[in-house]
Amino acid sequence: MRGASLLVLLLLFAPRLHAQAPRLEPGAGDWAVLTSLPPLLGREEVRKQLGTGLTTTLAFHVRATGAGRERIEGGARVDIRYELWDEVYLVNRVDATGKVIRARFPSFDRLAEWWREARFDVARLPRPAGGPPWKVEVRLRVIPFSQSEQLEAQRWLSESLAAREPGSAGAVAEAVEDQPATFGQVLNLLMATSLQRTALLESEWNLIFPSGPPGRERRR
Amino acid sequence: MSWKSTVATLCGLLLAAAAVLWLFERQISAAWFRLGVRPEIVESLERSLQDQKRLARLDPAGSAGYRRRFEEAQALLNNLRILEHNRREILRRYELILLGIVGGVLVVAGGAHLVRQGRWERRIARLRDALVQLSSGREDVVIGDPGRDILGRIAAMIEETSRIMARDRRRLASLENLSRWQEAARRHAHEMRTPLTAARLEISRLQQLLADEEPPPPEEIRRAASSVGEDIERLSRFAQQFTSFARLPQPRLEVHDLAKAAGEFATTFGGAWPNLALRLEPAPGKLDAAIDREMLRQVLVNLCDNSSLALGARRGTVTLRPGETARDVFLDVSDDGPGVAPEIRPRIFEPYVTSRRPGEGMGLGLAISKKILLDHGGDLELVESSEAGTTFRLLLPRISPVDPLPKTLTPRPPLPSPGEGEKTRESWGRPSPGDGRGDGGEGSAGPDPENAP
Repeated sequence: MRGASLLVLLLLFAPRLHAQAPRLEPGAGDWAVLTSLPPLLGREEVRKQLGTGLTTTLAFHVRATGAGRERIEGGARVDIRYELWDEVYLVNRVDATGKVIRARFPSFDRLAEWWREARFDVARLPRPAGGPPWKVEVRLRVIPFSQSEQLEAQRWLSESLAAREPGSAGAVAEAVEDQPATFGQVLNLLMATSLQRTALLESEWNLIFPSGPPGRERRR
Repeated sequence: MSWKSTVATLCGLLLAAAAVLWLFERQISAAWFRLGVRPEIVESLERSLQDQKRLARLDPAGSAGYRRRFEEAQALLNNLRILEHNRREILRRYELILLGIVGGVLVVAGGAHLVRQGRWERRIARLRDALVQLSSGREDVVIGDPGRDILGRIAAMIEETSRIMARDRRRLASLENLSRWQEAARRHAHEMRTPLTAARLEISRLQQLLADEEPPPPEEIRRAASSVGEDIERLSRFAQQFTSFARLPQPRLEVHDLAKAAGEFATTFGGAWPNLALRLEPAPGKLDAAIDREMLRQVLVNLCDNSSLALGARRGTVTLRPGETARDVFLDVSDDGPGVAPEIRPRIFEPYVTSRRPGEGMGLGLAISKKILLDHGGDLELVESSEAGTTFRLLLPRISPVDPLPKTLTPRPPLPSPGEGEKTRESWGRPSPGDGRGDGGEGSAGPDPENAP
C-alpha cells in the first residue's frame, strides 16, 4: 500500500515535457502565441541526443481553425547543435515573425539557463472580429537531426548500397537530377529514402482563441 | 488444369513467398543491419573523436589534420546514428521491397498462368470442335494451331488424319466410280463379243463364197463385203478395249526407287516419240515406293502418248520430276503442250471423257492410269494445266522401313526385260510405244489430243 502511494506521488510530481502550455497574448495589431521552451534539457535521452553532435530541432507548428473552417497556420523552430570539436552549443532560433537569433553557449549550464528564460513567439493570429472562438492547435516535434544531415546520410547509404566510390552524388541526388535508369537504382533510391526525420518526441496542445482555458496536452 | 488446382498452386506460392520473406527478415536483412550498427563500432568512433581532440591539443601543429579526421569520423558516426534511428523504417522498407518483388513475381506468374490456362482451354475447345467435325465426316478440318507443344502436335495429327481421310474417300469414290465403269465395259464387251464373233464368221464365209463363185460377182458386191469385214474388225478392237479396261490386273508390288524407275523409263523410251524429248530432273534422294514397274511404265506411256498427240506436228519436252512429301513420294510429269481444255478438266479421269472425234479414241487412257495408281495405294492428280503446259502427279505412298510393303500385296518376281514388258502390255491390248502408238487411242487407253497434256 505504501509502495502504491509512493508511485502515485512520483507520477504526480514527475517532470513533464511542458511545464507551461503555450498562451495567447494580445499584441499591437494581432495576437501572439507565446511559449516557453519545454524542459527538455532535463531529460536523459535529450541530453544524450544533444551530445551526439547532430542538430536537434524543436519544430513548432500552429494551426488555428475558425468556425467557418477558415484556417491560419504558422510555425517556429529552434535548432541546437553541440559542436564536438569546440565543445560549444550552437543555437539557431527562428520565430513566427521570421526573426532569426543565433546564440553560442560554452557549456550545458549556460544553455539550460538561456533555455529556461527564453520566450518564444510561435505564431501570430489576427485580432478577432467577434463571432465564435477559434480552435488553435500547437504541435511540437523534437527532430533528432537536420535535413542536411539526413541528405548526407542518404547519400552515404546509397553509396554503400551501390558499392560506389565515396563522393558520388548518391541515389537520391540522381533521382532528383535524372530518372533512375535501372531496377537496382530504383531499389537503391527506395532504401536511401527510408531514412526519415521521425520525431523523438511529440507534443500537442489545443487552445481556444480569443479566450478560454488551454486544452489537455497530448504527448507522444 | 482446374481452377481448384490453380488456386491451390497460387496459395502454395504465397505461402512459400511468406516463408522466404520471414526467413529473409529474420536471418538476412535484420542480421546485416545489426552487424552494421553494432554498439562497439559507435563506441570506437566516439573514442576516436576524443583521441583526435587530445592529439590536437598535444600537437597543435597538426591540428588541421586531426580536425579533418575528426570530422570524417564524426560524419560517419552521425550517419550510423541516423541509420540506427531509422532502423525500423529501413527494415520495413526492405520487407516492403521484397514483398513487392515477390508479389510482382507472383502476380506476373499467376497472370501468365491464367493466360496460359485460358489459351489452353481455347485450344482444347478447338481440338474438340475439330474432332467433332472429323467424326461427322468433314474432310477439310483446319485447326490452325501453330504451337509446337503437345496440343499443337495433336492438332497437326488431327489435320493430317483429316487429309488422309479425305484422300482415302476420294480414292474410294474414284475406285467405286471406275469399278462401275469397268463393270459396264465388261458387260458391253460380253454382249458385243458373241454377235461380233458370229458376224466375223459369217463375213469370212461370205467372202469365201464370193471368192469361189463363178463367174465372179460384181466388184461392187466384193467391195461391200470387204467394207463390212473392216467395220466388224474395228468393232472387235473396240470390244477388246472394253475388255482391257474391264480386266485391269492388280499390280504386283516391289520396293523400287521411283526416281530410278523414272530414269530407266526416260532411257528406254527416250526416242519412242518422234516429237517428244524426255528429260529427267534429279531426285532429292532415294524415293522408295511399292511399285509395279511395268504398270508404272504403262502410265508414263499413256501420259507421253497424250502429250505427243496434243503437240501434233510441233516438238515438245516431257519433264519427269521426282520428289517427296512427308508421307508420299511423287513423280511430276510435265509437258509444254497446249493444255487440257478447261471444260473437261474436272472430269478428266472419268472413262470415255474425250473431245476426240468419234472413232479416234475412247478416252480410257487416263482412267486406266488413275486406276493403276489407285491400286498402288496412290493417286494420279492433275496438278496444273494452262496454255504453257500440263503437269500430272503420280503419287505413291512412301515405304516405311517397318512395313515396306502393303500386306495385301505380294512381291512379284524380278522385272522382265523391256521387250518382255511390251508383251505384257500387249496382253492388256496395249500397243508398244514404238509400234503403232500413232493414234494413241486405237486399242489403247489414251485420251484424245484435246484433253491430253
